[in-house]
Amino acid sequence: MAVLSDAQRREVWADIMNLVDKSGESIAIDKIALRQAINSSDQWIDDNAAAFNASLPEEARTALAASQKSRIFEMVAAKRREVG
Amino acid sequence: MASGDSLLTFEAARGIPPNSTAAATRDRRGDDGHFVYSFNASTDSSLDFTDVMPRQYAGTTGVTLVIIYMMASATTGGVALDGQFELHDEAGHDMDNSGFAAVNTVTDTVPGTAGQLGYVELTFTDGADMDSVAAGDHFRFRITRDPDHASDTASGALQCVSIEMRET
Repeated sequence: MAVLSDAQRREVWADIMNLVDKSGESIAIDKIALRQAINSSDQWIDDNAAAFNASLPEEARTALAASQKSRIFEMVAAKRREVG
Repeated sequence: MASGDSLLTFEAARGIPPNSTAAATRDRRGDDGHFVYSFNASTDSSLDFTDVMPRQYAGTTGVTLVIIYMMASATTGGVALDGQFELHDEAGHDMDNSGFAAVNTVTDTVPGTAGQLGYVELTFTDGADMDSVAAGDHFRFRITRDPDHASDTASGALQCVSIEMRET
């Protein structure tokens, strides 16, 4: 999968700002820096997609659909954020 | 009235979300649920207030709108706000349509703590700048956050608490 489009990255950016607003947290960077962080994150995921895939055990690597592998990545990252 | 005297106060609860353009959203803030209207950081959003210009308005130097706000989460950056008047004069303006005068814009650096208030002044000269609203005229005032403005860099929502209208 290619990197997200500009419109899709903008959508993520708006969603993150809404989530932070509702969380009661404060954010110490401006929205331009936040947008750059989103762009960099998306690019890093794209650059490292093959390495992530190669890190999976062979059975999972060959039998799981790309969307299922993405979900594993997403849920592990979410849990890591939750536990700090 | 003398310069600096208060003419009107629009608490956020008096805000009217417009139909014809994206509206700010009603929200509550803090332990006691202070009533605010939220203007997001990614797309334009607006809120309207209507009233009758007080008879004490001198009609000489114009008005200053003091916009009292806080940020939902931002502690750095700036915001840009547009304001504009619409006169509802007798046998003049057709209320079926919008007919605002041109916007005036103000920018401000946000408070360093989310939840602290910022006070920013937006001035209008008497006459066309305020759509020729005079003492005794019904009018509408629209406030819009302009997230695409070069100075609107703060992340997250701006929460409008109140607007005071003063004689300039």
